[in-house]
Amino acid sequence: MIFVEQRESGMFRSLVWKEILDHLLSFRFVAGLLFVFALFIASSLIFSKKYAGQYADYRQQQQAQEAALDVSKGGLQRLYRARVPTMKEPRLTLFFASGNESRFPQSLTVVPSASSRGGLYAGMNIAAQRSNYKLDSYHDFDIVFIVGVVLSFLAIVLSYDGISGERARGTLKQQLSNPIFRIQVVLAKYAAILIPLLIPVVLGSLVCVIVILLQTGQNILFLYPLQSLLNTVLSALFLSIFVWLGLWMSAATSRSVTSLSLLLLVWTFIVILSPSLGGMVAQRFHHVSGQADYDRKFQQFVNEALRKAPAAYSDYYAGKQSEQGWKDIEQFFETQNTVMEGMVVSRFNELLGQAETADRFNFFSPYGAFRQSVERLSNTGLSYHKKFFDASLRYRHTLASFIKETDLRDQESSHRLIPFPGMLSISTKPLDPNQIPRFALPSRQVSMMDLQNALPGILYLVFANIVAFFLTIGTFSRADVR
Amino acid sequence: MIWTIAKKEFLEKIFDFRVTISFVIAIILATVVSVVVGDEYATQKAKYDAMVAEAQGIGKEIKVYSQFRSEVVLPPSPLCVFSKGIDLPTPLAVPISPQRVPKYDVSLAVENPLMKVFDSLDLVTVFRILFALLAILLTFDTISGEKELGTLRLLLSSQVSRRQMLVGKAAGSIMVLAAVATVTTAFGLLTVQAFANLLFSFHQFVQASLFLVTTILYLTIFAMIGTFTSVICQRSSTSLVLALFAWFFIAVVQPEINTFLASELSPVSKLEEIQSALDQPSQAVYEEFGRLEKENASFLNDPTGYKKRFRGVHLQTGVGSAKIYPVVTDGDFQFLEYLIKQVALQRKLVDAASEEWRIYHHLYIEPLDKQLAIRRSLDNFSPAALYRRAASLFSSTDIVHYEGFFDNARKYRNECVAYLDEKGVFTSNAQLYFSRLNKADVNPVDTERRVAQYQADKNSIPWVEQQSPLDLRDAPVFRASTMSILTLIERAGSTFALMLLYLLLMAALTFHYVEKYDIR
Repeated sequence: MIFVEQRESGMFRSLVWKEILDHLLSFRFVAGLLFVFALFIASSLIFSKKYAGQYADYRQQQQAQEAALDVSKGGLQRLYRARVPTMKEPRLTLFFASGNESRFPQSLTVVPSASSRGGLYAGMNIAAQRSNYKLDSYHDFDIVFIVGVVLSFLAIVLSYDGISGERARGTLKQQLSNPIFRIQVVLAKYAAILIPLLIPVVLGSLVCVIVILLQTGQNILFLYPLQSLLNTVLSALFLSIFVWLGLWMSAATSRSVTSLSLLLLVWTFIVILSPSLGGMVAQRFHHVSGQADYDRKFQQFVNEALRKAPAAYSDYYAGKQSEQGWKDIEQFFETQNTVMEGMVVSRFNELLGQAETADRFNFFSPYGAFRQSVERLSNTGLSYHKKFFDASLRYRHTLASFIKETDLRDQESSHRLIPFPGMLSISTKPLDPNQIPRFALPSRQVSMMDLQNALPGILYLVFANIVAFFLTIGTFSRADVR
Repeated sequence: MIWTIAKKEFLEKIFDFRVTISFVIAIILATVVSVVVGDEYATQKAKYDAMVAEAQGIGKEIKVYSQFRSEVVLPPSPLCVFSKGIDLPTPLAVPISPQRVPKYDVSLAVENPLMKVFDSLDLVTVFRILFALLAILLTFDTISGEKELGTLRLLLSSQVSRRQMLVGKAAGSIMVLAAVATVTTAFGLLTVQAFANLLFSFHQFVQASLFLVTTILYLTIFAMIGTFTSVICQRSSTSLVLALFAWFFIAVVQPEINTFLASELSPVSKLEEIQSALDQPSQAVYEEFGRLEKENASFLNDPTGYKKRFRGVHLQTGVGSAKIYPVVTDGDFQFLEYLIKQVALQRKLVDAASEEWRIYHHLYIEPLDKQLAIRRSLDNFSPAALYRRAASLFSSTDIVHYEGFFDNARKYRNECVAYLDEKGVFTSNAQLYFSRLNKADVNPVDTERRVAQYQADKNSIPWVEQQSPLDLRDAPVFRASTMSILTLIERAGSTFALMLLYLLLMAALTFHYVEKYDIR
């Protein structure tokens, strides 16, 4: 008995080994591999160049931020009405999944006094970016694209004749007459396709690291070890679905050619066409009010708010001022600002809601789920944009409370925190620039929250694998060898 | 004989499962695309009509030429179901003002910038990828399949020449492809019409048929690629893999790579960076304004001066500071001089705007055009990109179409400037009076005569509110140019020629190898 088991495992290993060698030497694998490598190298070269540009832009924006925070003249009073730009940090993980960030707004403007737009210019125009409106939108050649489109294609091309090919050649009977379970044959074939496919993923990532390291002095793998690992695992999970699909189809059909034709039609639908459906469906079924409507509503609110202003407000223009009056006005503006900020936030959430509907729809396609999980783990795309928006909002609160607290410590100030010129009167003493809080970017590292967000995608991929696995096993164990 | 083979191939393939599956997928996608696009078009059309009505109302009630302003609107194209082309929002209202040259502004009317992350589908993408795949799947075993079945010898032993046989077989596949493409296109057209609640014009039908012709040409190229690999390979499965690699590269990757490379290899400037350069021309004029104010400070700031003596009326024109005074009382020479100088400066702002446009074009547009040129030359090597280009041209959604619109808008703005120049007035405070005089009268040297004229007119000059609206029937009118069918074909000429070249190349290669084919 023991003897038999040993023989079987030895058999299994030699089977895997034979299959791997078979694939490594096949024309389709070598051609695909070369193409993937070329893509990896070209896109990492381009990425590092782009990254350098983004970094320069980011530096520039930081200087602009410093300039806005420079209140050596005017002190708190100036800081209160300053327009402080916040900017997304360029991340090396953009190479894992670019999240189409070049089509996104990259910066926001924070105003501590919140006199209009809730203190947050939602920066919803993308004019500030280096994008060319004359070109069609395109996909970045990030790892998700290379794995998701190119390697999944290769997975199908490698696996479509796994079983039907052997059947056609007549070697399947021989194979099955060995003292080995059918499930082992399938597993051997599976491993023999997936392992060669992971070679370009791992090697390609290493090549990218080297290229990016040489070009920018920073590397992806060691700065983001957890993210790199998770991305590789996700890539393997995603590719494995296609390997199972390929083996299933090759077990279910009698001719390799039929199997490949069917697989490709399925692949085209899953990988190329269906990810475009989410956006269209969301546009059709998840309506958001137009920007012009929103602007009008906002302006209306501001106008009406001024009409509801306390008596002290009109008294001021009539030349009457009192201590209680100032308090009333300050209280009034504080309330209004909270409401206005609420409007800005709910507008942002409204826009985000539409995008999330699209995301949710795209989730049904394994490619969409794969892309979303990698984006969440890599801190790019929509989820990062939300983090960035929240961080900017928090930054406004930090600045506002910093101003309030520091002003209270100044004995000579009259403590009138009212966002209207003429009414505003707070400390004008020069400030130590190091005291002023700086914008804190969302963390680069992957958090528990990110993992949680990425979990549905990961579970979905695992589930798809299990289904495809049982389909293959089921079909193959019933398959007639004749 | 060719016809017999073609008919046999057609009938054999039209009911093939590959055709059925791709047809079903295509119809599903075409439905989604047409419903969404048709719906969107209906909304956009309503918006467009409202905008046009508003734009027409703008000039109706003006009383002085300084109020003259206009707006032109870019209409949406119902054919964008075929190709969404470049992703610019429509309808686009472009204000026409002498002091601003119309140009595309990225921040105009983006409804939800977050939605830009998602791709949207159009029929050209479905055809470009799915039907090209179908073309390969239908043809990869043209010769190798017959060989494997053993029927090739039989076929070649008949009277048919090899060439005839190949033509017949290819014709059969192409007929299948053409049938599927035609049905899907017609289905898309009908669905859009139903959901957008419109009827296509003859012109649009011709454009749609041109789109169909391009599609068939494109699919023929892929049919030829499939046939070619079937000739050079001994086994059908090798042929299929080879043809699929070609398909994957040409139809899926190459068009993306071209745009990606073009936009990453050549830099473009950020608008913020060139803003200071753009502001320079008008800045110089504003400085002159400042100097003029300073020179006249004594009477402008005099509390008993012009503010008291001239009744002003604010006008919501959006053009500069259009505060209009019913001119000068009692021959205030200094004020008159001031107003005339202001008019001259306002005129200078118009030239500054043209200068700004020149700088904008040089610093901003030219790098964009360079990227576009790189993309276009890369596209020349890619049948799929050529197909996409022709399709967006026929759908009136390509960059040429948008640029034509903006060129027309700029021309129209120049006409307006010339028209206002001819009327002798420009936006400023002095119009009411001057607009009623001839151009010769707005001449600083001629003050004496003008004052005399004013004295004579003094009592007959009404206040602005009492003026009757100007007669603007001679004002220039914006004419949107629609490309005639001939121009369209002419513009698509080079694209067609290149696609034909690729087709002929593939066909020549295939025929060459078929003749050389060793039957053993």
